[in-house]
Amino acid sequence: MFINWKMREINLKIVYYGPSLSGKTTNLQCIHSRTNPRQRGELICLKTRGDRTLYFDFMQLELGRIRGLKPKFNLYTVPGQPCYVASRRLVLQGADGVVYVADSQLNRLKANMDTMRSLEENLRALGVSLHDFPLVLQYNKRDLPTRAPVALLQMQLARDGVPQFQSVATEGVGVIETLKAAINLVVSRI
Amino acid sequence: METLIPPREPFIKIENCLDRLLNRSRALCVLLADISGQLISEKGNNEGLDTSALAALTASNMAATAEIARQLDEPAPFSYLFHEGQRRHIYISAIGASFLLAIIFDEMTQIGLVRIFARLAVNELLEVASELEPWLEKASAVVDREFRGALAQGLDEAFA
Repeated sequence: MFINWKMREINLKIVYYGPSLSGKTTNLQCIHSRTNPRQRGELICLKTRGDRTLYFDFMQLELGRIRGLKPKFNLYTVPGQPCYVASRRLVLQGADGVVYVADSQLNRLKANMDTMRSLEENLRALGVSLHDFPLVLQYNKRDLPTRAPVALLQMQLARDGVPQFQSVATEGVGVIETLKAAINLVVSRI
Repeated sequence: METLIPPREPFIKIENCLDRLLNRSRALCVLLADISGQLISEKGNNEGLDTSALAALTASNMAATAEIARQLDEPAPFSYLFHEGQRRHIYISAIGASFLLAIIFDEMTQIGLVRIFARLAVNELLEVASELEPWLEKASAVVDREFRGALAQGLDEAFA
């Protein structure tokens, strides 16, 4: 977070992290579509021809002034595919909080755990401990018949006190709740 | 509610420096951002430009090429990038380890001119950056319970 005194803005960076195809971009698309156009910028997607995130997606969301300062939230996703590990670390630079989008499907349990480990390593490389870092967990794709029980996902990914949400990002379920929790968590840690 | 008064001096220096750069280089627009992509200041004709997105993209561009430099076993990140378009071009320069300068220009000027004045501006901004840096993170000075409450309410209203 930083305060831009000249423009009288308070800036937050929140990164959506998770394994490939877990729904990170879908979260941002949903937020973008449900926000008043006057309160958000363009949704920038740096993707491959195959529609997969190559580098990141980005959008900015802003609220009305509070104490003369305008809060602005810079939302990013990381590319989930394992080959883009360096890009994920770059996008994490300067992040104030992370929304971890887990894929609820049984066959993605290992991918969820591997990606959580990579998040921990990437944060460590930036001098930050995941345990002290604002983190919100989102269990996405809860509508699929192949979903794992939430208790199993919690056992593998959650730790005490981490806010958790179930979602169906393609239908917008749980997306805004997750975002609000992430913003409030980041701000409460200042 | 209390309204905070920002420290003026480093910002005046930055504004003056960016104004000079814009005029001397005859660029269309100049942006100052931090390395995480947060826009700090902008000057010139930014009509039709999403400068917040541009700041995020240029910072990512710098970060990606810094990683390329590391992979090439370069001792330091590349100090500047230049992208030449058909109508518009962009010159991006690092300002120390924390900030970057992006200059957008067209056929009204030349890359040589932009480079010369960008270097002068970077040297000037390096000095100011050290004064500015501590202020950018003084969030705890404004974020208290009242602020958090107002923010949560603002979020609820935004997604009502």
